[in-house]
Amino acid sequence: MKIKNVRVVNINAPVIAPGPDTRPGWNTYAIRSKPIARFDDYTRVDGNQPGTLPKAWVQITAEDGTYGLGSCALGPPVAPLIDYYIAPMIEGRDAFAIELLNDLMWRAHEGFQGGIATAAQSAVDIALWDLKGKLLERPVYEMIGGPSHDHVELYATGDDLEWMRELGFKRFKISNPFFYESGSEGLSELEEHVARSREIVGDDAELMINPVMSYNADMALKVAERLRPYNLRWFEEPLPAWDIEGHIELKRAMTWTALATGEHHFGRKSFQQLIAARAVDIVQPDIEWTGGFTETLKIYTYAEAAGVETITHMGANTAWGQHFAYAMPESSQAEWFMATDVGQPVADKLMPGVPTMKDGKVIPSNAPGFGLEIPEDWIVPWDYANQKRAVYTAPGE
Amino acid sequence: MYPEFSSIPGELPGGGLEKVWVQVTAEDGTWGLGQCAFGEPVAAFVNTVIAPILEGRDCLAIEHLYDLIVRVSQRFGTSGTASTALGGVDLALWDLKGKIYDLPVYSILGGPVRESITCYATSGDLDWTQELGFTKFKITNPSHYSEGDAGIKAVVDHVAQAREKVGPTHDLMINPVMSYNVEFALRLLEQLRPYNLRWFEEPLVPTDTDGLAHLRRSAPWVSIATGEDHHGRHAFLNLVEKRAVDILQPDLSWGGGLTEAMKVHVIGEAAGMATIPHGGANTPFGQHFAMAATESPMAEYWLGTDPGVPLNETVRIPGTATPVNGQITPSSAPGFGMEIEPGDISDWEGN
Repeated sequence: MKIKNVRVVNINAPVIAPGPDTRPGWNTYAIRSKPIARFDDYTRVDGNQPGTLPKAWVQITAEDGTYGLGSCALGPPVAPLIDYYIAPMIEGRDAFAIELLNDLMWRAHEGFQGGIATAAQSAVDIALWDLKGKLLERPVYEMIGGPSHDHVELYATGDDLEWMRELGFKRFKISNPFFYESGSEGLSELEEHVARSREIVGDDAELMINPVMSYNADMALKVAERLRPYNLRWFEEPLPAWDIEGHIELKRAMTWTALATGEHHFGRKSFQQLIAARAVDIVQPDIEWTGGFTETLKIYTYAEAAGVETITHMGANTAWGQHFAYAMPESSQAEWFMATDVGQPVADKLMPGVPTMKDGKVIPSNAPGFGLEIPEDWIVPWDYANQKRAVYTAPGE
Repeated sequence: MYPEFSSIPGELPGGGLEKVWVQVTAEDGTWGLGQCAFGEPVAAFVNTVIAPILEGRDCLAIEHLYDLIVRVSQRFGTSGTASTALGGVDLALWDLKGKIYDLPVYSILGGPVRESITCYATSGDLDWTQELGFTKFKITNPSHYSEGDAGIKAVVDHVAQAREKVGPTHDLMINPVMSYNVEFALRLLEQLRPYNLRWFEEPLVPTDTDGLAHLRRSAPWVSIATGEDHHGRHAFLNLVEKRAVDILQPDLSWGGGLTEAMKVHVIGEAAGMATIPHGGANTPFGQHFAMAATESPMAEYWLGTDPGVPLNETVRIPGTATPVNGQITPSSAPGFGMEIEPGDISDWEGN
């Protein structure tokens, strides 16, 4: 079966407004540090910060009209790379030969891999897996040799801990307000935040923290020392992806918790270097950023051989993340990002066909491909004409 | 080293145990076949250790089933007998999955990544292999390190003659099958330099990773290849991370099957190394691997028959494609495309 057409699309999903018995969730109030936090021109609460870009979707249609869908980050710069450069390279080729198609994309982009190119490849690769599953009438998790688990065990990312507990979660990852330049005072605020969170979730629950590259090696070591009494399950992405030596130092120093990272490591090679240096305990590729489902499976394979677990970034909010975690043995849990308000059904922010969580667990759809049920009339062409200049949110807006 | 044993393949201890076939049957009666080796110990391992764990489980969940049996095998060493048993079972599971999906295995794996497989010929009969259209050649090794300088001279003469026969531009490789030690290999490599070998294969025992890394650094003009006696991802990860090799050569039947070979390929690919399985082009299993693995530029075709016998008459597994002008295009029939009928299959009766 040959690929007829590859195109970038948008999914016009209706936004479900939170009902009357809800209140604004952590995305409206939690201070979350990122590398850009040095500049106080921009909000530190979730919003339009520099570097925040909308998603793009890719629709790949086979000769017989069957299509697969995939999505990725960094939509506006990624869209032309797919439509103008990747599509002409893969249209007309065997839709099942996903290894070949990936190899083509990698070789074409060898000179500018990482970030935009890997995000573009991700959406294409995900759509190819969805298409292959639909053509074979098989769920993707089965095609890759799963399931390996009865269900996908979830941890929840957010700061609305009481609500998350009420939903049945037993594993929690909280935000990080601390930027490394804010010194001792910032460090104390951070400790307070972690102490309060540990108190709410109790001593037995898993608790993680995610600084999203907001530290340098020096401050990361100090944070690790300060947080020792709070028994963290892991310490996530404290450093930028390029700082392999920093990761090595931190991992050696932090014997009491695990070092996890990977959402900003793009492609198998960057993970290979991290793992070969034994600089990480848990790798966290993002299927939509790192190069796709295929690339994530390759990262998993290298990690597995080295005794390192793979827990994908934002995995369980997407069909692909659910299929991955359900299929792969060395992936004991998946991330559920709390995108909804307190009291709002978590399913409100899921694409149709993506099963919702129950009691901190989820079981992926066994429908063909990734099981998406997105109505055809939601799929609209990518609107190049209306790509706009960004308007960033200032603090307090 | 022990003159009481012959050095002809098949007659020396450790090389004569017969093939073992594994048949996995699904609820609906569809079955798959895999082939491994080493006779009774492996057959017993499959029947007594692996089968009871797998029966009743989802036959399509190969990653899960494979993880289960790898874990169960930990106490058996996971290499040698255990990985060979795993190999037979895993290959049968892939054949079965292909038949259920009605797809060739390479297509499930994301291939084809190439139109046909370029083969190199492993044989001492260079006139015959050239006549057959091969352009890449691997020759045997006449010496053991205990033979000292006379042994080195014998290898050099042997390689010189072979190079003369195949001409200056074609790939030429030599395979000592663990017959050297480091000092012998180093002294030999010094003298082999003029003959422009494509690779130098498995000179040392599989445990000597440091020795291999030393050889690789000392002889940058030749690639170091090894792997047929390395079993499983951990052995290969060690080779890769110590930069001890250029080319990984897992054996699908001995080293844990297609699942494990694909994992080895991913490990090699991430580190920028090629994976060219041992004896790959002789079996449908290796052929499907080569059609699905991007960093696998050629495959080994071992010639075990006399010059003049057409290759398609030498096929041991019915349905296996044979090289034409050094190229193989495997069957696109479901599974591994083996043409074995139920009447051809009988119970294991031991050696």
